[in-house]
Amino acid sequence: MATTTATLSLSSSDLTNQSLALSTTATLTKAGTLTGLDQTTGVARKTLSYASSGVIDTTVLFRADDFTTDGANKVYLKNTSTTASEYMTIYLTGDRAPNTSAEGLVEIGRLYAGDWMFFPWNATSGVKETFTCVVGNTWAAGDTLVFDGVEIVAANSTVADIAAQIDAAQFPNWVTSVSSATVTFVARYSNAGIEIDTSEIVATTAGNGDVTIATTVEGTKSGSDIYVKPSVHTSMVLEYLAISE
Amino acid sequence: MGVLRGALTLSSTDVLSIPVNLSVDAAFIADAGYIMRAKVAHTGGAGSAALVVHKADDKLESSYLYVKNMQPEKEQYIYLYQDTDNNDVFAKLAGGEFCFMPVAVNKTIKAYATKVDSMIEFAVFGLDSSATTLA
Repeated sequence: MATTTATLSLSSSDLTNQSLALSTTATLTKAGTLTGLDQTTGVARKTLSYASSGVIDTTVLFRADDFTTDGANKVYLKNTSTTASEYMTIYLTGDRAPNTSAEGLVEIGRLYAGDWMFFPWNATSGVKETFTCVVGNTWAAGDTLVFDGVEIVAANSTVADIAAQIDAAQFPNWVTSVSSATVTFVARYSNAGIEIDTSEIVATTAGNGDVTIATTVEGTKSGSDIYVKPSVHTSMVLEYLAISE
Repeated sequence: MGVLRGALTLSSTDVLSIPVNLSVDAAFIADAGYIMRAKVAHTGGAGSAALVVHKADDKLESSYLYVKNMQPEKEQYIYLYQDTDNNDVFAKLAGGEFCFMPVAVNKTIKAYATKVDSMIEFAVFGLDSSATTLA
């Protein structure tokens, strides 16, 4: 079992009449247990830069889908800038009810030059869009199906075999499973903004072969992806570390 | 103008194949602040009885929040949420855990617990706004 400790010290000699000195330590464990957190991204740095100030936008730092939901994950972030006016704004997706009219992201706060933060992150993910693709009617060897930038060429005319070929392919944004002639696609990431139909899955067949698409689970947004937005477009460097379950 | 010095050390000998020993410190600009302990009576989600740990517009430009869950049991959680924005929960502290972070000055942050009367320690530092009181 890995053991990681975090110690925070806050001190000041001039904020109050008496000097302030606070120190606290915690051993980082998995949710509800005494077992230590054993996964980490390692300490890393990321340069945030944009072509001009007019196109500065948020960047996804961590996706909740990549971590254990409701875990006792911890995140450390530091703005390494030494220019006092340069800050990074930290956001979460937010776990509010969907389709509210409030801001799209929840601002946690700003990290000014040299500032850092250390906070728990329970990585609340959303729902991944899921749909089925049924290979039907008459196909022939050499017929093709294109989806998500991947082309599958039918090896024979058996629809179950073609479905198996689709399942065996690796899709950039989807994972698959197969049962007979039905392939089930599950999005790799939670997203409320995707809807797949036959305009995205294109079957080209010599006969009347086709695919039937049906959404089985509507996707929703993630609850707590972490976003970062720099205040200037020139290079700002973020230092980060996640320790997770 | 005062200065709050903050230092964080993260260390482990076995979470990676090489030792982790990250230590940072910073001088956070502040001229006012408070630190206190209080019981969180409210449970079961956001609500008017949740404990305010950061009041919107009490600070100017930057505000730094420290919260520690003083409960002895890991399962006795403290949840922090933005009362100003649709009650979005942004932190879940198990017993004994703490956080330190800058927070948006214009957001009120509240805490609720999984156990009635959970004790927390919290502090807020920053540049004070005389236009807003904690009352």
